[in-house]
Amino acid sequence: MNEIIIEDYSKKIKNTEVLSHVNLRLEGGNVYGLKGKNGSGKTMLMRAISGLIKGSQGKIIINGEVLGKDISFPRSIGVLIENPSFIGGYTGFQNLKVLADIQKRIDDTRIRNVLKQVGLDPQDKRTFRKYSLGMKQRLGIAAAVMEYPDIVILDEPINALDESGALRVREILKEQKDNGAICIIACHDTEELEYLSDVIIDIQDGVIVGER
Amino acid sequence: MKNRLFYDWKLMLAQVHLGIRSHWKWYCVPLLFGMVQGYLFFWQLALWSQYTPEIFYGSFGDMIMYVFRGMEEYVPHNMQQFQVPVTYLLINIGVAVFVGNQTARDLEDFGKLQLLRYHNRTVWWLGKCLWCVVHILIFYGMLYMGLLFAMFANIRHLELSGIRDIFQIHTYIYNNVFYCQMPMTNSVGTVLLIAVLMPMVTSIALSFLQMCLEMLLSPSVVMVLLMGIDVLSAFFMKWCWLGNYMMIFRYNFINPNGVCWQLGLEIDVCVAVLAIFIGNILFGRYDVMPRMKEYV
Repeated sequence: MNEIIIEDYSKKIKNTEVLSHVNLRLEGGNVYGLKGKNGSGKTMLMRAISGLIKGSQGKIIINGEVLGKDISFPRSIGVLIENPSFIGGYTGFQNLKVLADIQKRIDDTRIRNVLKQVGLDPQDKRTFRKYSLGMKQRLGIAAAVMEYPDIVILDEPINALDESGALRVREILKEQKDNGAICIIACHDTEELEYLSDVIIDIQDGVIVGER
Repeated sequence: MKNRLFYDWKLMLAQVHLGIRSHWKWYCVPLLFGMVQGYLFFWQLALWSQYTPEIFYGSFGDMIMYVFRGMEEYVPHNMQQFQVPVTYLLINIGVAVFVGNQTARDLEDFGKLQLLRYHNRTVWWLGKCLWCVVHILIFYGMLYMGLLFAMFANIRHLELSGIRDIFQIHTYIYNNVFYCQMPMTNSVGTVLLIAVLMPMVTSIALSFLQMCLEMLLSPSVVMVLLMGIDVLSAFFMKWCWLGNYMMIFRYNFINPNGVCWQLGLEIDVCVAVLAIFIGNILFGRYDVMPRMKEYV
């Protein structure tokens, strides 16, 4: 089973502790919702688990391997952190194809299916530059989940999405969860977050204050 | 092990391909710049030929010299006003804008998604360095293409008696149009080879330095620092200021006190290798997150 263990992890940036002594154990097949105000450290915790930032103290162990020591990044991860950014001159399909070609874990059919799953047309000739905000968000989600990753991190996944888009996110998260992935999400809509998550992690000023 | 290396190499090549393909439109800029420089050369030639009829014919070699001439040594006590050579500065700015824009922004955009799939920071970094080399070669290639366009459009000003003539340097142009009175002590072939090779190699070294510094400082600050190096290079004719190796008038085959191209090549290679090496270490510790925004 997939597992993330965070042990006494802290991150300091310019004398400000943005994450402070975080201790967590995350298991596959669950959706973890990060709850907290703006600037509480939700996105920073997501970045830390992704391996995008280096901790000042402590360690993150992913499936028995220490992040930053045994591995630079988790072996199988899909992320949507901040605004989805892709190549402006490429279509949605082309963008996903470029990413999929790096690891070659999936074929074109899977890319088409995941685009349909998020509500985008795989045949759409419009380039990413011409996408609406909601379409960009959908493509970002598609990129995060297309390779059936062991860890799925979605920061504000329902941002800019309409009702049908939000419903699709629910379905996608359920699918990923059923596949045994560890899903970590952050969302400002508390109701939606509580609905989507199996476990809610409260975070305040970089400190985990509760887990329920 | 062999498979892993082959896979990493393919990832690097893919990054080069993507970097070039997604920014191909921007290569019109050096092409247009080359054309403008070519036209300026012929305009000056036409202007001079009104007064001195023997100054009429130019060659592609003269055009290369015109673009990469830079400036002669600046001597402050001669009451001479210091003016940075515009062409030299524009070429440097052009290269720096491309490189800075690509690496710094990429990590906040699509590059982040690639990096997570590469699983290896070193491969990503080396891919960027490789892209940088290819990009600079294309940049200069487009600039030369622009010069060629201008040359063929002004064919009446050229002596086209053979390929050897195209690559010759006319002393009368050198003396009257470029205002350089010092004799050239090297063969024309060597001079042109240096004029073509050294700006490219120096640009690569400066770009690696730029990418490396961007791991520590914001891209705009690094840009200012590079501009500083360019201006100081124009001010001081010293071996340690890399910009000197991009200006033909600063070489010791024109100015006896000038810089030596062999030493320049060695320094460029050293700077490039060090920047790749140090950049890799810095990138290994680099926090990938937006710089201008809030941290959390």
